[in-house]
Amino acid sequence: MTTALLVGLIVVCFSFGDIALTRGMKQAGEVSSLRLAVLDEVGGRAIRSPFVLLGGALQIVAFVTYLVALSRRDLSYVFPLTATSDIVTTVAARYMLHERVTPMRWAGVVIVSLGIALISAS
Amino acid sequence: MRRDLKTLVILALAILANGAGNLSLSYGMKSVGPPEAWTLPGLWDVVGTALSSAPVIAGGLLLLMFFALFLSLLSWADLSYVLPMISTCFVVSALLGYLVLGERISLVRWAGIALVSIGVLLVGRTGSSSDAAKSPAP
Repeated sequence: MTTALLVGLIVVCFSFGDIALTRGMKQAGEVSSLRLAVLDEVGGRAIRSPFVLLGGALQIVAFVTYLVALSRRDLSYVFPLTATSDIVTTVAARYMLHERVTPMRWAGVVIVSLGIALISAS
Repeated sequence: MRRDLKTLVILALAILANGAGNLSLSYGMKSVGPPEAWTLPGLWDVVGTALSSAPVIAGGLLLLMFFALFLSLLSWADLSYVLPMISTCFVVSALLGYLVLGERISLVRWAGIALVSIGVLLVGRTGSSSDAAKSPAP
């Protein structure tokens, strides 16, 4: 498998993993306080949520693929490419989770991704 | 507690846990050292030594705490808000490496740190939850 395919797989798994985790946590209910009873209740629902489990599994696949990609190419090559996952995730959050992404948030996400790419490319 | 305040407090805790966790892992793994050979037994030795190192265990626990705080944030805030905001972790990790571990930061990396900070300031000015915008909180 080429590095491009590996990076594509990493980005897709990270993005959809985060989408699934968010969906699951919204269903599990708001962590309204840090009291143990609340954490136990929401945590219990989160651990049994198919979306949270799917999200966790996708993150693990993404991480293992990331390690495989690192074994083939340098960190300073692979990591900046995976920074594009933040942009993919934002598009997915807009359309799949119906989040309101204002122009200012868009600008921020793009600038942050560029910054992450620079930090890791050097 | 007001939601905005709660979001910022949990974000700060998550970022601190991540920074301290990575610092502790990095410090611990330096004394564990690289594997003698990149073979399964060689890697296994490293895992064994790492798991008996207090800083590595503390680092792992802090990163678990980070993940729990990240999930808590997602239970009420937008993913498109939390994800860029949590990128402050990159800045904190770089600065901690510089200040505590004496790592060097190149000019390009400083530029990246500045960009992430500007982006986070922009995203921080948007509301953390779309739900709150649609209907007022009960």
